[in-house]
Amino acid sequence: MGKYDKYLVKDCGSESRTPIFGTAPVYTYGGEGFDEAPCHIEFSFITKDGEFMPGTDKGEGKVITGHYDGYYDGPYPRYTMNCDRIICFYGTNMENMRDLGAHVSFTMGDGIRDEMQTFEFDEPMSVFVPKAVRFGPIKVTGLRSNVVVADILTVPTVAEAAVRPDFTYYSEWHDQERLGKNDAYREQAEKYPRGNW
Amino acid sequence: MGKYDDYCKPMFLRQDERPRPNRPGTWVLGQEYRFLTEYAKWSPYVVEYIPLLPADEKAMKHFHGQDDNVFHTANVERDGHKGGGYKGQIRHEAEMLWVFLGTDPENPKDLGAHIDFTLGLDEDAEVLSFDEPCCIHVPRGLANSGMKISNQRRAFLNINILTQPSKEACYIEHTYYPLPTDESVVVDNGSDRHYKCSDVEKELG
Repeated sequence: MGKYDKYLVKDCGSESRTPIFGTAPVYTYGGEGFDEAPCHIEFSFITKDGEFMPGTDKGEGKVITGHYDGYYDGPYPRYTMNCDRIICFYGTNMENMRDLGAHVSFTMGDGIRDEMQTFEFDEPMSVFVPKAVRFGPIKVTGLRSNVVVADILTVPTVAEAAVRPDFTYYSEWHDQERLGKNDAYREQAEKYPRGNW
Repeated sequence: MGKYDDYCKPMFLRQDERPRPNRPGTWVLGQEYRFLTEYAKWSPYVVEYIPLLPADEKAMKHFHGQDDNVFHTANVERDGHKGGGYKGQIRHEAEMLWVFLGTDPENPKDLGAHIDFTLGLDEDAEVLSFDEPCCIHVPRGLANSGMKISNQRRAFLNINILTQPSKEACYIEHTYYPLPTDESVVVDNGSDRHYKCSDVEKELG
């Protein structure tokens, strides 16, 4: 056993993390598995188009997952109550470092206590999410190559960060897509409920 | 203009004047050391994203430190110090997390290369070896003194996190190999100029 072996950290509980981006692996390093960790960081890949943290449609049953420590999670936008968060999106196109590999749409704010604002980008990007500001949904379209996502909390553990999903959020993306621009398809949307077109 | 406009920022892409075959570039968040440019003033950390491609042995050993008779470089720092290739780095005011990730999500435990990473200096040095994704935590005051890549089968990712908003604030101390005397390339880190080694003393005084 070398004296510096403890500084090589293989994993800090990735299997217990609910992936935000589909089923891609999540790599986790933080205070959950390493006492001296200064921050909690997670890395994952976006491997296909999709809507992440989309909430549910109005009238549909909520999807909520309970964890053994009393934490509840689900596909909802979330607040990080006790710390700031940095989320970085990087491409894996080695021929062109400026190519993110997809079009990403990132929403911040909840439109209730503060503004809601959506960023759209096609190049590697960093996003700062202040404490107690909601973020999500994240929408990915036109994926050409995998996107790497680095999610950095400024505290050592998720528990200290006090992450709170917003279970009241319903999926506006689905509504807008179904209804079309200027409600062009409202008649059809009402005649054919979601999933039955 | 939205309230959160300043919170979504592109990062700084640092690329070599003389491209290295295995280093397409580095995305930097936080204050970039060499060019004293600030990107995203809100960032409490410096974050570097460094893809590493398979390349020949010479290019790989250039990445950090050097071996005798392989590829000698010399460095001139902004404070005027002149020395051989980097032997080690110590960050006195920050922790540094070296994260290594593969690029194949279908094989999440395969880094795609074998890494020998050295912590400590000289008699205190110890090599950590691994082939799978991991994080190396380098605490304040502990040197890292070399990284060797071998058996690289595909690109992998090195993501570094420094727990300060700028490299200046980390108070990084370098140690060097002796200044080489052969006809090697010298990189002046203060100005990005390149010199022949034999001209260093004459050119820079």
